[in-house]
Amino acid sequence: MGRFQGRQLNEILRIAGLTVRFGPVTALDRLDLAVRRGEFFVLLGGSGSGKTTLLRAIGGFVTPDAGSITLDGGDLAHVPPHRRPVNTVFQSGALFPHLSVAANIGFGPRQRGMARSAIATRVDELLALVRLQGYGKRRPHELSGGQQQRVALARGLAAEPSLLLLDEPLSALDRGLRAETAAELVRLQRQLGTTFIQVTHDQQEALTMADRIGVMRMGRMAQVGTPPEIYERPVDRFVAEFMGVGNLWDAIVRPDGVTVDLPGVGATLLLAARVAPGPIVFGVRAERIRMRSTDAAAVAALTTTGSTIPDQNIPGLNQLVGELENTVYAGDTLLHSVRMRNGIVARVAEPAHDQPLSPAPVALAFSPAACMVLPP
Amino acid sequence: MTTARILTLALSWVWLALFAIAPLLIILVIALAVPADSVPPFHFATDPDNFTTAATDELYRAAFWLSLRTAAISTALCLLFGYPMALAIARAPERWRGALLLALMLPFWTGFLMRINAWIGMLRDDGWINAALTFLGVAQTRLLYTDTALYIGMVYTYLPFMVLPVYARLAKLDVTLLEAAADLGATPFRAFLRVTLPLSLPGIAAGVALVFIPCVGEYVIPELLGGPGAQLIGRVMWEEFFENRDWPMASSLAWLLLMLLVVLPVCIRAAFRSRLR
Repeated sequence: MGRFQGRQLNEILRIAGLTVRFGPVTALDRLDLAVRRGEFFVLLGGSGSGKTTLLRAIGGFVTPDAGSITLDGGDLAHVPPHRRPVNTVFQSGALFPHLSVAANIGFGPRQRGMARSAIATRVDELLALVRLQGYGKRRPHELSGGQQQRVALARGLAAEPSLLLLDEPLSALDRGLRAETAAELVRLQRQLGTTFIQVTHDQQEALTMADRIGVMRMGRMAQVGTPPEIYERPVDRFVAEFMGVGNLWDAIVRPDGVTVDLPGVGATLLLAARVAPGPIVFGVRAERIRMRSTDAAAVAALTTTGSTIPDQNIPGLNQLVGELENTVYAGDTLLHSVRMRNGIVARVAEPAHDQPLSPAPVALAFSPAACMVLPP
Repeated sequence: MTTARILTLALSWVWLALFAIAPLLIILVIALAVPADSVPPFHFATDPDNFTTAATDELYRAAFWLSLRTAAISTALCLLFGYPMALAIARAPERWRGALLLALMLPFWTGFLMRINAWIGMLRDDGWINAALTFLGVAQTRLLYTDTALYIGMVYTYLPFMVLPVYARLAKLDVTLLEAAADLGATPFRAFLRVTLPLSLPGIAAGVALVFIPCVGEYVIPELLGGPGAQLIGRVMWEEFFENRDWPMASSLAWLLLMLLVVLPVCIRAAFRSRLR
């Protein structure tokens, strides 16, 4: 069993200029990526972003048209899948239905010529690791979805790969089980120190599990960073939208570099830090906006609560007014649509409460620290 | 049960009773009769001697044994040629598969006897195959009325019955399983042995049964293509029936063969079951 190896920063995998085409479709477009040893890296992207193709290229199931994949300093270009020190946990699990759980887990070590008794010991270790002791003799179809996924994970880890690839390992599980299995995966990864690369389309999953996230778009890496970096400082409109930034408005930074004009609204918004003047995309998350009806007392109360002002050096809150058009009940939150004077709809999310809301003028307030400035 | 269901079930039972159970019972009655010089050529009786003779006589035992051996070899040959064909069709691009399956079944558009007769034309001493061999400088070879011709005919006729069930199984096989095997370090050959082959066993079992059973009782192919030594049970029965006019003997042979063919598949299935479960 691999010891905890610490969070070394050296690189295990380097991908340079990787291009994969399927006929007229370019699935990966001159993609560059470096993955560090021992990290939990999550590839995040929508369908068709190329994330699964990238995973399959690392596993050896897709032949690149150009570019290189280097693992531990060795070029993988002409190494067939069965000789790569990389294992995959497939989306469906892909357990061998005719083999027992133990034989599934022992498949990799057996192919690599491990002695029969050593395989049995290794299988027991892994069953304990994924908390399935005593399940060795069962067939995959006798297990629940979550248990099957854990067997697939154990099978992937059995041959001690340098790199474990996970293709949407949680997508087949129902919601409660998904959170539990996600925590289990992270625990295992920390315990073993094996480098994990996981593919997902679920931003929540990426944020909670990853050491670093790579957001993919149209076969390229749109942004690579830690979860807070990706969440708080998306580099462009696409990443911001993908990470659920509800409000993205075209705006112009004034020559002073700290105030922003929203054309047609007439309001001036304050930024937390100085940026270059000119046209920008202004972003603010729906859940960072507070909404109150527009009587003066309420606005005054709002500005003095302080709880929405994370940084006391900022003199005030940004305020906008509009007409509440529509409210959608989403369980723990209410999602409001507020039409502003320029016709743009601002989205506001607030904790659900039982005050009835009717179409009426409202005031929106958010702190300058919540503002994002993205390239136009 | 609704009336419609009763009617549907009744229909299939009537069909079975008329065309399967009744003929079998008639043959059983004849098997227990004694031969006579009359029309029909037997007198009703309950004489089990025919069965004893059929099971113990050297001639019949040799015929049964030869039939089983010929069927086993034919089935093995069908598997040997049929499995790669099934695999090739299953792995062919989707748009090719229909055409390949059609090609496999195309011979059925022509009558069975016509096709066997066509083989006579090809296998004859002055036939197409020998003409080609002579052209290539190989000495003329006796093919027709030998075991070679017999097996060519058997494999030619029954190959589709092996290919189709194996193909049906292989086409359903999830290719991700092969990727998983490769991912875990299995070479393509080992992935075949450990994944593809075991998962296609039910298809192989079906194919073996579909080829082996009709091969045991095959009459036309050994008669038209095989040599005089190829005294398979089908031929022996024919002789008893039409040449010796010993209907009771022929009938007891038929019943014995039926028992053999019912018991054998049950054994084969049990063997496969225990390996799969």
